[in-house]
Amino acid sequence: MTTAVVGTAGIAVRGLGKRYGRSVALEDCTFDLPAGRVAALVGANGAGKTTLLTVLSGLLRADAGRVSLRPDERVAFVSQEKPVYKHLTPVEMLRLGARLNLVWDQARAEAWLTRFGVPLDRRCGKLSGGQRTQVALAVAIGSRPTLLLLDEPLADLDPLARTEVMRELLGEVAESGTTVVLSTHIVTELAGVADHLLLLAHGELLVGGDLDELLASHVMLVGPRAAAPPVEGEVVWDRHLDGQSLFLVKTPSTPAVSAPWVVRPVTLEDYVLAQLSVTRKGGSA
Amino acid sequence: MTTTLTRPRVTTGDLLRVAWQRHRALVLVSTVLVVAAAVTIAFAGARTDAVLGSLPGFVLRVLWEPRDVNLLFGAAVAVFWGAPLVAREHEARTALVAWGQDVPPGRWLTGQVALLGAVASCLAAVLWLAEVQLVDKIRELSDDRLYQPFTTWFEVAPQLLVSYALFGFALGAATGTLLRRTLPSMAVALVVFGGARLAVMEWGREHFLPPVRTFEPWSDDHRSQVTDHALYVDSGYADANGVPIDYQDAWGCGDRVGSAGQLDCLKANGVAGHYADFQPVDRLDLFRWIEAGVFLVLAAGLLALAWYWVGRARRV
Repeated sequence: MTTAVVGTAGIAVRGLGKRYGRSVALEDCTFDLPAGRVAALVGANGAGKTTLLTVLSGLLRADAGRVSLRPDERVAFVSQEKPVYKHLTPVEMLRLGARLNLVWDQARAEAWLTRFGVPLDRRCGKLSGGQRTQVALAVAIGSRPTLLLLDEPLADLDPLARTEVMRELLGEVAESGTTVVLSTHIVTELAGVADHLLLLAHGELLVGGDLDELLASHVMLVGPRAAAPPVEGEVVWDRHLDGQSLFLVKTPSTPAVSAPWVVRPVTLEDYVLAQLSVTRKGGSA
Repeated sequence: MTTTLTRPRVTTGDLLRVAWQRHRALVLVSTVLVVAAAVTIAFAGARTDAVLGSLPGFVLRVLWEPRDVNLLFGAAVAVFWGAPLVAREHEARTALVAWGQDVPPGRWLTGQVALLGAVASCLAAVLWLAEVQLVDKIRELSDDRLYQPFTTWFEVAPQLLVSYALFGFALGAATGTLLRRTLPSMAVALVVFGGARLAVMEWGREHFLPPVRTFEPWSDDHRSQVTDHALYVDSGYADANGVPIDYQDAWGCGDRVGSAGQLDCLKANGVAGHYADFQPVDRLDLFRWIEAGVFLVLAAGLLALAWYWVGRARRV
């Protein structure tokens, strides 16, 4: 694999592949992510999200394919485990970040810790999981990244903290034009956060693109039990209850249907869950 | 107002400070232990033979045999300093933090190795200072009777103690880098370190240079063929040209042990005298440098392997 730096307006990933022994973690993964976007990386467990983020971070070399970044791209990666040195205090962790980076903003990093009430002089080993997450995020933010990669950033946080962290993060990145790729299981909390979707299944990229465009090109049809929807278009997903059928259909424009059929706009959650359940069926078939 | 600081490069000083931040507890505890051991050894060395003689046997054994102390020190460096260096970073996943900033893993490792290698070398030197006090005292008190330059005295040389420590450290670091698990790395480093050191001590050292050979034809006048304080390598029967001959049971000379007939029997089978192989004491310093060189080359190779392996980034 080569990591070429070209003058594209963001990340360009081409044919990325990675294997661990016989198991395939990533296969022929290709997508573009325009600069300044907040991309949600979604997929079932083992879909290859962590591998993709780690390859993008430069910490892992892929077996095949190529990642092109912007010139002078500064990448920060917060891994799933939110690792910090347990015997160091948050202040010492920031000092470590300052020493190992060419660009550092101590005030921003400290402000993050203060904002979330992390005790600055307690050893990280004695902090809660959520507080350690904040320390790892503070180090990433202090390094002033232009590409911020977050693997399950919200997992150890309580619901209130999740909302606040997302809001603060978005504030930070909007101000600096940072591109963000974040993986998560919590699809509901992506609404209003992500503007780009990367959907992985079994190491392959299933869907990649602008979130609004994706959602606008699909509709959910609800009506009486039927074998097929009453409109033209590719059926992405269907579900049949006792007296009712649901179809997720890909269609260029919102179709007109007659009663009793109803057209509903597709939410991010609808879309992601439908795609995931399709790949699960496909995977077990 | 921006509070962002930008600099052209991460300095060596930064990398050393990062290493210190990470390992200061280990360094401080190790220093206290080594200094305490050194003071004990030096203190014992400063006593008279009467005081030394009244110490319990096992204390004497430890004190009088710097080889044991040196093995222990090198093994401790391999197990507690080297093995966890990279393995622990993988286990705690902190490698993702350490290597995820602007410094590539190889350079990060260089900083860690530079600091810990330098400290380990200093501790080895402290140990040497104490040991040399002790062995000099023993030599003086025993009026050279206990002076065994190729055993007890051999390792009491600063270059050797430093080379053992660096070899142990490099071995542990390379093992931890390859295995990525702390406990297995500690076990492997311990076994390989002990094996390598004992192999060189028992079988390697005497072959650093071809030994000096002396030949004595049969005579009534028995005297030692091996010079004082030399390292004995081999001895046995030889023919008139001084070429060793293996004794064979078929000769039947063994039945006549101690009798004049035994000598005749040997002579009849071509044995013209006795040879001895040894390393004379004037090679002591040269041999110390050779052994130090062997372990330093091994250490450099192992560190290069570790450096290459952390930069491979095939797994995280």
